[in-house]
Amino acid sequence: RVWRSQDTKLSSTSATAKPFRKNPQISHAPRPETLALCFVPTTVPMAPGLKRFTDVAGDGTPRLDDAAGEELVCVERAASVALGSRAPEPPGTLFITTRRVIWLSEAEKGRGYAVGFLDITLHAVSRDPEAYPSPCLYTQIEAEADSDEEDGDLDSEADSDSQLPKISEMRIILADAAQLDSLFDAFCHCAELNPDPTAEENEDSDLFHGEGMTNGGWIHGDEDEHMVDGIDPEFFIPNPIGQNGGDDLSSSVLEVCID
Amino acid sequence: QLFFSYFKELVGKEVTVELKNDLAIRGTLHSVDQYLNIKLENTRVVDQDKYPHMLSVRNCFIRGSVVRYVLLPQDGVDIDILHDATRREARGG
Repeated sequence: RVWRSQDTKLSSTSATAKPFRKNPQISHAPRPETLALCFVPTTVPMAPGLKRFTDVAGDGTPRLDDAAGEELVCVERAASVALGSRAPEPPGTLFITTRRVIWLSEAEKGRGYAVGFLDITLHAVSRDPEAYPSPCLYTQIEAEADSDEEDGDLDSEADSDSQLPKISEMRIILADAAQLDSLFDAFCHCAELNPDPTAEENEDSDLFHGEGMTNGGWIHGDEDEHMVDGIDPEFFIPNPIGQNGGDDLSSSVLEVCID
Repeated sequence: QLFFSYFKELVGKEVTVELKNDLAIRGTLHSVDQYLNIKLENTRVVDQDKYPHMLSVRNCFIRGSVVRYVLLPQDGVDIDILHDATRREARGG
């Protein structure tokens, strides 16, 4: 039972055909963290995570942020999403762009969701029936920092409210489960296109003190298993990595490690 | 690039990645990129009570920015080499 949509002509998608709809709130600097909200007609304060998405062109495709270089990467028809622990939505179309994942319902025009790749913290192909009845792409979404609530009642949302209860898990179910691996790869590719902005700013600064990531943390470890007593305090001195200008440290490390 | 270089050496080893949301995932390190995005294979959740639905998946991609720790196998780490390398790095080579 394969569901196929008709007539979605991606070659003439709105991504290139339609002009970008001006929104006075948008700055034209392509900052990824603003893109996710550019197309929501109602004014919503900036917040991470999954959002309702309604900015749909006449041909049924989502309007992309051409000005910021957002491009379509792939499309999966007959895709359903299951938010949190809710049942899967009726099938729709999944649009993967260079910035976001957008899902538009086929049955309910105007119903859709979008989440930026910056907020997709993890994704994996799930095929274990004990984990979930259908094979799917399992994703975790960065919810707001102060969120305690998991899935509230989505149906009780006022239609004008594009904020959703804090969704931290989303599963994407494809009619053709064999496509899950290539969807996984597409997600990997797009995640790599969307590095953390603070990571880029700190690229030349000391990773030990950098934002997030595994700075220093993995040296601490748990139970001090990997901690050497009296580890040199110099270790934590802020010094730019990779700016020693002299030795190629990485090859030094490699040489030493080779047996 | 120290961490990137070091993690590349750990490819193929079992690691446990602890995320900032406290989820811990164990798996074989498949690959790592310059942003320390991590791909694991044969993953399983360490604390299944918190995320029971995410049982064993084959491959998993974890965004570098949400990693809190990468726990290394004890025999996979040569502390002396790492120590020397980081000290050299801290001193500017």
